[in-house]
Amino acid sequence: MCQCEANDLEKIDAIVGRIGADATRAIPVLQEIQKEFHYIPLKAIERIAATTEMTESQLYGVATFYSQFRLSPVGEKIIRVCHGTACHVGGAEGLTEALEARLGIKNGETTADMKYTLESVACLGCCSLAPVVMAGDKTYGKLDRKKVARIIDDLEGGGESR
Amino acid sequence: MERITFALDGKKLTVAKGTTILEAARAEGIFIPTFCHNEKLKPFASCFVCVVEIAGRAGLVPSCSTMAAEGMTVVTDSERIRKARRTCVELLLSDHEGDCLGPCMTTCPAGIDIPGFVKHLAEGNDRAALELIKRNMPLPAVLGRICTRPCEGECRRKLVEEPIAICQLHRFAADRVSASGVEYIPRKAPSSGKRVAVVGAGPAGLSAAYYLHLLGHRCTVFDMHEKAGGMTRYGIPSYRLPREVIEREVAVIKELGAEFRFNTRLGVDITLDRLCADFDAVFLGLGAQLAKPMSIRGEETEGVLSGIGFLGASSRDESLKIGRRVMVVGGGNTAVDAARTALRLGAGEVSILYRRTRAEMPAWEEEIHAAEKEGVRLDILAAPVAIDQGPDGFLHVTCIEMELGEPDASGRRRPIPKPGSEHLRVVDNVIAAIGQDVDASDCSGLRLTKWQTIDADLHRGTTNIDKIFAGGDCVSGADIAVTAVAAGRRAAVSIDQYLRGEKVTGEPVLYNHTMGRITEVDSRVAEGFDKVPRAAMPEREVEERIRGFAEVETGFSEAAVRQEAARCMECGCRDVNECRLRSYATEFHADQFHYRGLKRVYERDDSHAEVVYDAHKCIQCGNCVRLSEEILGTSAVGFTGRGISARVRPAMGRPLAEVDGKGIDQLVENCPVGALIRKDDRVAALEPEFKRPEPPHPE
Amino acid sequence: MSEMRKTIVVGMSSCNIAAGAEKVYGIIREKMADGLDVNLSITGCLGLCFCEPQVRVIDEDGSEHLYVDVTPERITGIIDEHLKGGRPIAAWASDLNQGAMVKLLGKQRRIVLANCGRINPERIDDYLAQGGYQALERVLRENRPAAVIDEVLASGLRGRGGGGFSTGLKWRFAYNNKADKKFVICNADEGDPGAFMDRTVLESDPHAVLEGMAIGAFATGADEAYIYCRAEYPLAVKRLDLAIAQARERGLLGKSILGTPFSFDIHVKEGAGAFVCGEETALMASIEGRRGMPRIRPPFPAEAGLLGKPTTINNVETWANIPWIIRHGAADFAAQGTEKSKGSKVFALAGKIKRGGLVEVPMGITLDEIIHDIGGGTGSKRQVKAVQMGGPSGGCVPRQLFDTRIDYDEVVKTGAIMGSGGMVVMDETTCMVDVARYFLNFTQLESCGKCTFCRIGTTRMLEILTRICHGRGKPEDIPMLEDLADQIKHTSLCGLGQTAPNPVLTTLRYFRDEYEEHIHEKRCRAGKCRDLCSFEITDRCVGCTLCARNCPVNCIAGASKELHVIDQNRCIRCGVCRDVCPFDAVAVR
Repeated sequence: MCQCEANDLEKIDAIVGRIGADATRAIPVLQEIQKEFHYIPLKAIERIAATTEMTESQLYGVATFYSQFRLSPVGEKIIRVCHGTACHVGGAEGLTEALEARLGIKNGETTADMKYTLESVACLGCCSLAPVVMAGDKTYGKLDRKKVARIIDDLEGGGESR
Repeated sequence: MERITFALDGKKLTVAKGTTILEAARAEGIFIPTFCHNEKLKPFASCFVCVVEIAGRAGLVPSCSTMAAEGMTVVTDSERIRKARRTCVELLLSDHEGDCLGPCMTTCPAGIDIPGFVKHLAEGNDRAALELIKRNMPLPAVLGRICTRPCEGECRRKLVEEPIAICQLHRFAADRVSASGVEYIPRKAPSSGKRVAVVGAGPAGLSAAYYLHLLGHRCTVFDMHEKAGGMTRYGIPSYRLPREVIEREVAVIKELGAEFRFNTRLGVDITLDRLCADFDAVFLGLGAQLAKPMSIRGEETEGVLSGIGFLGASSRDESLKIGRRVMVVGGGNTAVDAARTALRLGAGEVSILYRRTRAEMPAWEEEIHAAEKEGVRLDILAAPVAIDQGPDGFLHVTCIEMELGEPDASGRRRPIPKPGSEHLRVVDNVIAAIGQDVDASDCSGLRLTKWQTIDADLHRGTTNIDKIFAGGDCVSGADIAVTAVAAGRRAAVSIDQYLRGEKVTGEPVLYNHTMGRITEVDSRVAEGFDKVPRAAMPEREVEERIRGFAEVETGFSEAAVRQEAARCMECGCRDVNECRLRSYATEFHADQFHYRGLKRVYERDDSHAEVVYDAHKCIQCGNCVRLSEEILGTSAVGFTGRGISARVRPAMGRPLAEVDGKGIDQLVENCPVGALIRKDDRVAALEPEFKRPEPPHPE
Repeated sequence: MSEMRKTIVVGMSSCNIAAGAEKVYGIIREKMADGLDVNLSITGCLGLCFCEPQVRVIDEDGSEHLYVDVTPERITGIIDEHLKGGRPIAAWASDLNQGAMVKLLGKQRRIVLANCGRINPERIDDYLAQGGYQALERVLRENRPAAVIDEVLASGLRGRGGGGFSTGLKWRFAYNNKADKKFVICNADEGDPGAFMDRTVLESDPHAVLEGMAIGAFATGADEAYIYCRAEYPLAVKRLDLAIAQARERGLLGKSILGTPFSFDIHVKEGAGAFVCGEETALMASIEGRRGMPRIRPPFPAEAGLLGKPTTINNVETWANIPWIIRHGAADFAAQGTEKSKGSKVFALAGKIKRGGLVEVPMGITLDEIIHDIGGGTGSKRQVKAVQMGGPSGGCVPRQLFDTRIDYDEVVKTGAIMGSGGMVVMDETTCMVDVARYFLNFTQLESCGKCTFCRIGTTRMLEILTRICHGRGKPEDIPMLEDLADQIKHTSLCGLGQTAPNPVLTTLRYFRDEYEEHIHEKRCRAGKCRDLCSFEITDRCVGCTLCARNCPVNCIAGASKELHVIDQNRCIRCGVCRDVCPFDAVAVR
């Protein structure tokens, strides 16, 4: 989103119109904003604060509290390495390392071409398939260092991997 | 209104239903600390320093938000509670960055409010500056010339360019007030009718006498010399410290009522027993007056002098004769002073023999430099091993070359003689200036240490005899003057407590938070300061000065002082006397480093015209956030992030200047620490008036 | 449904899908497009996650065949041989009446999981066919809310989210508080890493939760409800939305339910990623659109909860028990379990376990029965070292205490807690100091940052643990950890802080020698802490080359059938060689 073009403001207003403008709607509003823009532009918070009873402090406080929200743009595909207990015991750290090496970025970073963002998540709830990685909306289980790097190869080549 | 009855610290109380334990306790005058509680706001329960015990509950509960209930039994003070409160404070301290007091002030042994007096000088208030200095240290004209200025070593300005010329600034304040013709004579407490004998008119004794008079007692000061000043007179040459400067400051002490008895030696003219019988208390500030022997063959040969003996003699007689070639042995200030004095007395060749290298010399670098400029030769990595009276009538000194080995206990590398490097040097005089020892042989009944110093408590000055107090070099061993001045002041406080029949606890020690030594400090503290060079002290030309004993350093001009003082970064917290974190840290004897972890990043927002927000000082009590939400309705500040990274920030993480500033003064007022502070608040740690210190009590 | 056709049911829970179920489903769809004549349906998770994806084939005569580990190749085979050819492939099917399966299922008692993996969670009729919504219908018909509460109280049901508070009492408090408006909330913010009971129930049997909530709302006098569900569970949210829509359509939610005056509706609120929102006051703050910062209780939610109104909060599993209790009666429920812990409990078995997945066991069963009989042990040559129960709030129970019975109070005695049901099994390759560090890292990241002891105390504990794991531990670190742990436990506002030290306290209690080895000998026996271990190949090596081929930094040299050697300078101590070695030839030094 460039510096809030008119149609972006329209989108924001439409989201508020759909979800609601009272203070209790802050989280779902921000969730919809993030769905629309893939992150939460500060300009969106300003717009919402200016047009509803939510305040900038409330929205910014909420946006920085919950780990789902991000205030800067992310890559097209988010690679989430699960660091739940079972995945940790099963070697999740090694998967993060392998992905860092494969993508040439550190955990939490986005590749220069804005294709991938590498993240950790607390638990994806697929513990019996540990260790697990979610790439986009797809979950891969029973991974190791070699297999995890292949996920990226497959995404690059358009192929699939299990 | 419904009322309930419960037990608070063993007392049955009936209060309105809905009353919190904290409210009930306060109404009873019971102290419970709190950071996050604020009467104007809803209970929040975040700081947890207000915890109390409730019978039947395993955990401690926050009293600020736990309501008293029927039949409840509450205890507000116990070992466990104090421990929890102390832990709470120590955890907060471990995540709090800042200095309570400027590092100069905490490094100064006398604890002078340096940022405070420097600010006065910058503003042209020389008398106010002097009053503040004298609150802690009564000899600024003297120390302003000779102090080794440990404060300047820790000056944060070093992170920009060079330290503030603190020492020379306080000399200026003292000189200016004297020059005005009206000396500053502080107010005294009403007379107590008690009399104190002070033995020694050196820095420790003078300081003790000064403060004892301020506290309402009368002193008689005994000294074996003919004049006051101790080492400052008999150990420091007058080209560094003109004698009239000493007299000026002694005169103030006389003015306060002190009586001086010179040429009176302990153990000869008076005894300790007699003093104890005649006075209500005794302070011993005997100094370290005994020259340390070199312990080499021929040390007693004629022409071999001690540094302290030589300086004393030349101090009494500035036309003293000395040989043409003088070898001074030692690396301290006494050695350098002796060498420069020898030059002034007509010696043609003066060398300083030192067994380590120049870098290890304990003497003050500026003094060494001045000595070299005047023609003194440094002869390093060498030591004398024997002295003989040569057939030519001169002293034949056998010297040996040294090299540096492993560091010793003092951390300096140990000098090791090089075998076979012995060689002969021929001189007229040898001056041995390798240190001084304490002579406390005339203090029968007093317990001494294995170094023969007086065994006294360094903070309180108490000895094994209730009535006798001691401080300065005779307790610590030879040290710098300002340390002795501080010891004299602290002993005065203890003596005052003793004379009033109170428990002798000494000067209260307040908690002090620090960002660390100059080498550890976040360099961001120096951001935003333009480079301004340090004022240079004007000096007499070398040719002129070595011809006599005129003062070498001639003092700053007023213009230089104002500019120099304005360089001060005003370190230290503006909230230092109101800060609850500091007050509780003092109360619970908290240690900043008990829970050591990753430090908070220094983050100052001074965008606002009137208010500074130091996020690194914030303790997350949330008072400002709740105040702005619940009362002001501005939502100017809010919580952001979570966990250890949670921070209070202006809305959207903007600079403070860019959020709704309505009622910002209320936010500042309700900040329990110095995170939100008004810019026009002065950095003022101390009141200028020296009073009997009240025991610290929070709130 | 045609009686003359076979039915094929594909397990389509998150775990099945992650294991490849979508692809299997796609292949069946393709074959159907090509003329394969079967009924295709989906179901949730059966709990046998260790052998997913699973496909169930029901023959025309009603006989069932459960295929496990169904790969794309296998599904093609199953279609050709079984569906088309009528010849079931026994080798790929799991015989529920044989060996391990008997052990696995025989010790279970399925109340909450009864429908999971059996019915289609996206079709309300499937739920109705199993007696669904009959309990709601009965309580509405009888119209005696107090009697419903008595029934729940009599069942002895205790909160399954971990706290173990009596559900009936909680309802009674809310019932007794008169108010113009009341709420019920389903806490589906299953945040414990290593726990997936709630996800499975929501994905596999969402109506059971909705029905339980409707009954609870009726009993306590509420008319509106929220399900607060983790954002990481998109499939659960999708199926909940679907189930709510279907229930509204059938008049089971909304105005005048089943023609009675009782009106009730449910909203799904997606969480946004904050573990602390599992704490009820933080959860409510989150629903109200604020930062999830807990507040002090009292007032309890039953008195002043969501938007200040009386609110009843239970977790997914607790709500899912309610319809069963009403249908079968409190006595039947209370007949199972121990004196103070009634009914069954669902556990998520994961970690170093052979048969990981979801199990539901009667209260009173031992840990050993769950881990060895049901779970099958580690499935490797290594021994089980401990089981972590209760996630970040819980603790590590060592093998020697595996005779502990599943009972709220018995488990607490070990230093762990029953928790929501996560059980992560650990073997000799798990470093207990690292486990403690892992959990502290989790809690300090998830601390809301409000209270001093939790915010800073857990951080300082983590720093100490990290230091120990990196070989920079000092002897005074252990007493420092114990002191901080004790104080954080007793001086924190909410459950997160109060329980955060538990993983440290239990590992210190049972595995103190490992801490001491780390500190004094600079050694990690598990081979996990990289600064404190190295790997060596012993003479048990037969030269199979497996380690060399799997080494991520290619630092293992050795020809086929020759002893291999690790280049210690290049080795990153990841332990992959040890994990892959079939001959146990890689030793930790």
